[in-house]
Amino acid sequence: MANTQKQITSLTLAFLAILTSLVFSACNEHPQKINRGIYYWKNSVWYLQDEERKFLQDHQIKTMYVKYFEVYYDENMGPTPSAKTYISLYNTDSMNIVPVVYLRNELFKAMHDSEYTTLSKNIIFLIDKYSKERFGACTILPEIQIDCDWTISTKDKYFKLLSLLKQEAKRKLTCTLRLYPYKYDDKMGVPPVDGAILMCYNLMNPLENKNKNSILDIEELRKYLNRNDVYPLPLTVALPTFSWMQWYQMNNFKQLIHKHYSELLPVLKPDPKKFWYTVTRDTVVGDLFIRQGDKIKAEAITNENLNDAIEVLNKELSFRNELTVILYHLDANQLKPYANEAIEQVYNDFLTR
Amino acid sequence: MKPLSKCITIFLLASCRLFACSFYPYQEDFRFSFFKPGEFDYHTYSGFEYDAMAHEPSEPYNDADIHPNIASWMNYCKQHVSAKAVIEAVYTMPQLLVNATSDNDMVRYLSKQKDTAAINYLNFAKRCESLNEFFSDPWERQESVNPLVRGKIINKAIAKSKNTKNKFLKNRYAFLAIRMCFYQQDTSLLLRVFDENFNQKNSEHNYIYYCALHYRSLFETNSASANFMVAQVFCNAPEKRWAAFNAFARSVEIDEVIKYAHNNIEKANVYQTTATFQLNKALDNIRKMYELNPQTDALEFLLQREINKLEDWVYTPYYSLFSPSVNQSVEYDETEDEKTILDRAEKDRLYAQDLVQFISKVPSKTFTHPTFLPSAIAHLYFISKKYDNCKQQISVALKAGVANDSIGKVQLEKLSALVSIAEQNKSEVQIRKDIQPTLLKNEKDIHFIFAMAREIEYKGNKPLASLLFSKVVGNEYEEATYWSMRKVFAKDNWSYYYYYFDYLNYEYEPLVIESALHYIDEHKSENDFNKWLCSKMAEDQSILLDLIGTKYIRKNDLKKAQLFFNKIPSSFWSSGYGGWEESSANGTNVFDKNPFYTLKYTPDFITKRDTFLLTKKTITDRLITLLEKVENPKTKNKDYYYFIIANCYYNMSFEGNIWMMRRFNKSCYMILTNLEDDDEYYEARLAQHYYELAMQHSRKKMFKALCLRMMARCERDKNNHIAELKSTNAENSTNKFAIELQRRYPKYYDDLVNSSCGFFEEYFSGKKPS
Repeated sequence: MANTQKQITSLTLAFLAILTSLVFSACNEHPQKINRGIYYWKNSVWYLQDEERKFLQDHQIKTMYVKYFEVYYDENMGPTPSAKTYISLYNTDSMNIVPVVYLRNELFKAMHDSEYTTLSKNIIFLIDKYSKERFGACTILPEIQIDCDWTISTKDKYFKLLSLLKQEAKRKLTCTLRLYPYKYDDKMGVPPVDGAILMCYNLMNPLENKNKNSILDIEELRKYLNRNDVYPLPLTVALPTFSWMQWYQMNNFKQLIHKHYSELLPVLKPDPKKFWYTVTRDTVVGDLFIRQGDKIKAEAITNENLNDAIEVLNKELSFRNELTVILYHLDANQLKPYANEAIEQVYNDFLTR
Repeated sequence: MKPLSKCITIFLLASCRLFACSFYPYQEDFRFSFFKPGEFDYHTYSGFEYDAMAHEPSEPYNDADIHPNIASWMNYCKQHVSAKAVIEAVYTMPQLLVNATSDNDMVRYLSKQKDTAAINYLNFAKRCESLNEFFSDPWERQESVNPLVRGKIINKAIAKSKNTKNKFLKNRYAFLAIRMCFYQQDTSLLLRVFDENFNQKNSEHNYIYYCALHYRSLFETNSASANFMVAQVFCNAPEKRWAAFNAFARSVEIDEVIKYAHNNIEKANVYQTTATFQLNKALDNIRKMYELNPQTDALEFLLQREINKLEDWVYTPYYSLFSPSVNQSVEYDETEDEKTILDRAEKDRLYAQDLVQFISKVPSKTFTHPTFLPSAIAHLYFISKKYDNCKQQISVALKAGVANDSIGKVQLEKLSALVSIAEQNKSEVQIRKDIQPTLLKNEKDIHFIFAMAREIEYKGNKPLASLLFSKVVGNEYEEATYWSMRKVFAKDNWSYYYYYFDYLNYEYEPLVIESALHYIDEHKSENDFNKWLCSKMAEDQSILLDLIGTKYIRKNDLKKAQLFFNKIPSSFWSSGYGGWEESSANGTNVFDKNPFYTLKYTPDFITKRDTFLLTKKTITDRLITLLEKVENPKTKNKDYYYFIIANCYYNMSFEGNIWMMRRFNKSCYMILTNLEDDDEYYEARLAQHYYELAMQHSRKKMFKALCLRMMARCERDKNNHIAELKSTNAENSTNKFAIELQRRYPKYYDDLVNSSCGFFEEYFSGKKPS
């Protein structure tokens, strides 16, 4: 009995020693290596623009996270893919591709139990088809990333599908993680995947919180990152490099504007309220007719915002040796405001701070 | 005057059109019709009017029509609701709620009647709507896929049909099931639902029945029975006509189909449908349809279609020399000669008499439009060349109440104008004063103007015809009239005219153009009509004089050519005669080579003794001078002059630098025409003749050898031309002048034949005049 007790004690000590060494070796204060990645989210474009190709080269970004398609629930067809990617990369040598699939949360409210297995098979089939047909010259990494804004009510169904996908895919499965489920994993659960991508943007409903930058608010970020223990999944960080304008007419939200900023700016007069502008004369931008008196909320991410975000992330998170940082997203127009140095800083600041 | 370079550009463009691979006039571009259906409204049949597009789907109902489905709901609501309210409730509103105070009259009416069954039906039908299509597989595993939910909803529709006592709704639920079965491709279920609901003794043949019958017919395996169903659908459900057209099997014997009919109306429907889809003569079927069902609404439409068909068979070949635009069968062949297609058109004219005989026996009150009968007969008489009868019927039609400025009135005026030419004696034909306003009024109707020109041409007044042809100026990408180059390209009729100049260039003698220019001089200011008639050719006078001169060059009548070139203002040549100074891609002037001294692909080997601005006029002048010189017994060194004359003639050929002395356009390959100098153009016979004379007048062996070498070059061109004519490969190993060169001057042979032309200068030298 005493021997047995001794054996148990020594085993426990040995286990603790191994665990401690693992923890120390895995969680450094700063990562030693940054893997550079970027999302590609456009679905009606056939090829990369020259500026986009140059951006990838200039910043030595080797991995593109390409949204292959989205899945919604059609009343006739059941789970149905939409917003499929059209891009074909045949000349982008040595680019790595990670397929991303966006699942609309409503899907899980409408889906029947009998449809899960078929859906998981269909998703893997279509991913493999597009990998072969559209990204012939690239390396398809053995990973699939699922993007979904799951809620408490859809958690179980979503996790069920993730399990089936993991089983069907036979490769690494990762998923996006909003800040709320990151902080409240006790309520929101931990998805059954191999890693999570912490989405450090779109922290709040863009139509609420009218005085805050809904894309990225540092205080909000800090609030959610603050947790007592280490999140149980290896994390990747996703940061925003985009902007948009919210267009309001008679106090009613009309739509988001993603381009034509330079045409719109001359007719905008700043309001006393931060982020807000008033349209000074009737203007047509693209196919939008914007009237005098309309309100615009301009939300952008500056270099300073990004630096602050990285500082918070470095302070609040423990990273492993390698960290993947993904920018959202590869779009020549959206990336124009960022100087090369600023983008380099985003990647490098995780190493140096 | 328009800068000449611009003219030339146009002609070069025209030539591109002439020989372009990318465009060929499409059938409707050259179809001739003067009795267009636009005068009358055949709206539910309008998609089947005769044209080369045979046929395009079109909306069978006008905006003011009440669609049968809407009408049946209005009846269901006992005419208490408007068509607008029904359209809104049935087609626009996403979902209907029982609401006795609804803004929609139909919903309010049904709610007040407590007719929740009808509201439930409409909601169910709306749910089914998105299932009425073939779905491609969104997951891209296969071409198409059946949504799982459709099977369930079909079963629901069947169940609701069975459980509903309301017969109106019962049939409609059954129809919804049948339509979804079609998209589900569930044949057995479709047949069962149809038989149980629509194939009973007491089944009412209403709108819904014919809609269901349409889907039923698509699964019928017996082709005669299927055709019978399609015919009933075609005649009773206008919105299904296009689908019926595609489903109708034309190869099935009509007698086999008739066997399925239960009464005369159903038989008449079979004849009507067959006649509507027929591309050949349909009068027999139209007659039978009318005998079986004198009340038919299709008689006028079918007769109109038959007349338009006949117009295409007669007018299209008669005026354009193209085969009819709507081909009935392989019987029509574009390689046929002019006589064959015109003979066939003459035979087809006889059919007009058959139509007149039938149509004259139909009581006039049968026709919806009172002017149809006399107008139709007038047009048929014109096709039959019975001009007096035609004129008489035109008067009847006008008296029958053809409205001023209506399409019918305009068409009758045009017919009168055509008759006025056609009835005149040959070679005396003129455009009478009474029809001149009709031409002015319809100057934009280029098919009409063209037909008038053709009628005048057939009557022998080509100068007058050419003036009218010049007024047929269409827009290349919109409306244009095309006519076949059948006469010119007898061997392979693949080209066409769309511009009068090309036609004059290829087909008219210079005297015709001279007469036309003479007419312009005399009449161009006479009255508005003549101003209009002469305007285009007056504007083009210089290029037409150039054309006449060129035609005389083709005849080798240099003096006459000179006469017409001399009439052209010098500005015509000096302002840039496009072709002469056009630069090639490497910046050198392709055509600006003195033709007396320089040959293509040959280094210069003769010292140029004169320089002058190259124009057709100056080259003709110089050639005449040289020819006069060699005719003068006192002239020395005739061998030299004969040689440079030969060079000039060679350069006028297909292989030469100044081919534009004979042609207005050129292709890199031979285009065989019936132009009188085609042999000269491709074989350089005159050049060969003058090289021979040069040889005969020389005493120098080396020069004689060079002359033989040049004669061999002409012989090579001749061999190539003969090979093209015979569609074989050229045989140049037996070039008789090359053989003669080797026989007579074996030591020069290699220099002149097997080496490049670098030795030419040496062989020519020493023969310069002192």
